[in-house]
Amino acid sequence: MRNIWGPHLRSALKAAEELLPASGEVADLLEALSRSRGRPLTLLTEDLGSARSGLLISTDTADYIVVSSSTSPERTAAIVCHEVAHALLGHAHTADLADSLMDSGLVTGLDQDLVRSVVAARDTYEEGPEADAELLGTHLSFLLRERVLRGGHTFFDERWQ
Amino acid sequence: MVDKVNWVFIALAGVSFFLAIERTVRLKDQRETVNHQAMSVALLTLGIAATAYGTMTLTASFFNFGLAMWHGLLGILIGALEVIVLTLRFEQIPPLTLRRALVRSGLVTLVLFATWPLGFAWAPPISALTKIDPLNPAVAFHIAVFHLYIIWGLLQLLRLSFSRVPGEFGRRPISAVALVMVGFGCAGFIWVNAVLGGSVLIGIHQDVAIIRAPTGIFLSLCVGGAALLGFGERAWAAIVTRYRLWQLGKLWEVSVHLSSSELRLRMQLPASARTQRAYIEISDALSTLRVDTERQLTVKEVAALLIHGETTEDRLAPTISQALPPRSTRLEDLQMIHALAKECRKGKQRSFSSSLHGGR
Repeated sequence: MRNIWGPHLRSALKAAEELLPASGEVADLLEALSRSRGRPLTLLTEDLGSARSGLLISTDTADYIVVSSSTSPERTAAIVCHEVAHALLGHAHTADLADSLMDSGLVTGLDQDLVRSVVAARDTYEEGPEADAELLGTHLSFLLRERVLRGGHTFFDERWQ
Repeated sequence: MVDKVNWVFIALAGVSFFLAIERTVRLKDQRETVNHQAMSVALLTLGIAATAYGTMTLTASFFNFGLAMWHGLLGILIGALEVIVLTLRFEQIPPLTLRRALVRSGLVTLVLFATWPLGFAWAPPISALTKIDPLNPAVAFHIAVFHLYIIWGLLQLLRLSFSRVPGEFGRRPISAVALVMVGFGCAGFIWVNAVLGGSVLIGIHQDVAIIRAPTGIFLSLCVGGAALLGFGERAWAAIVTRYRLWQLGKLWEVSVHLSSSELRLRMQLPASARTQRAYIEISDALSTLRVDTERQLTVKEVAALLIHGETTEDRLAPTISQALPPRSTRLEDLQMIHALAKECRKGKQRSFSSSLHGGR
């Protein structure tokens, strides 16, 4: 157990709250994040096997969140929120992971030469950046779920707080 | 001296100050918005103004200071309320509209304070302007501006409250009830202000006590409605969260027990995050655990398989998520998880009671 909300997580959460769409849809969240960063962030589905549930892949011009093609909508939301959390927390890219992933042929939708780095395979998170991303991702996923269960259009809800 | 203090207004001031401090502490990490600022200004101004009103009799001999503060600060309070209404009507308030509201509030406050020395600062101690006879032009202007601005501000709140009630009833019933309360409270105060202001200006002396008698009810409706908007929804959300945790408990326990996945977050989390962890870890388990079947399974069948631990290591077998009826949206997926959780709870109870019967 540890103190969960450090200053870097709080400031990332603050940034995230400005991006959360009223609809609660992950596609709208990605669109908002793409707009705010001036860099497209696209959701791709690939057969990643059971070892990894999600990845954030960066090229020189765009970022891609990859989820397994067999994944359910709720899990997709969790994965996207986890990867968005990595982007908001500014976690360093892992070149080794990029090379090994592209060599494995798991991701077929991208040109191998263009892939600069891969970050944050969502596979385990005991501590460190993965745990931070999962914690922030869990909170984002919760906020989006609230919107989805209320049928969207919750823009004004928070203003009564 | 104690009996000269209006304790209802002192209590109102206390509540306002408490809410202002509570909001400041609770939202200190959130982005500063026009809405947050307007809420803080409204609560702090209401606190000071209510203190001035509550001690008005004590300060009457000091140039009617309390009365002047009460009237003048209401100019700021109504302005803040108007800005809050704007933030609830527009996602991005048009800058001109916002400026207009601020200028209007500033001008009204200026007029109210400027007419104080001209009109009633050197008058004998007064507690109610309806008793002034003959009417000083400055006082008449003061009263007209004061009551009209209050009516204007309350009309904005009334319109907003009632226009949002139909949409809120199905989605957030507590908010809908709160909005109805605020709406009726505002309507009551509009009536009181129209009658009081009109009577003084026309010169009809009415029994002020009778007109003001129901203000306690109107104030209770407004304060109660506002408190319900602020705390009721959060209390309801906390109840729903606990219910969801209970609802998902068995499915969460069973699926995590069966899963070899490391996707667990071992931290002490608040209830809202714990509920979300339940959804995430259940989804992770359903997407990785496999079952030996060649056909689509019902929710009831999947619940039975999970309870009996009948999963397979065969990598060619479908995952539970794939074996379940297809879901294309998150809402459908959440509804399926709720249905599965319900079946798991029922299934667990059945196995428990059958094991009891078997033991006899």
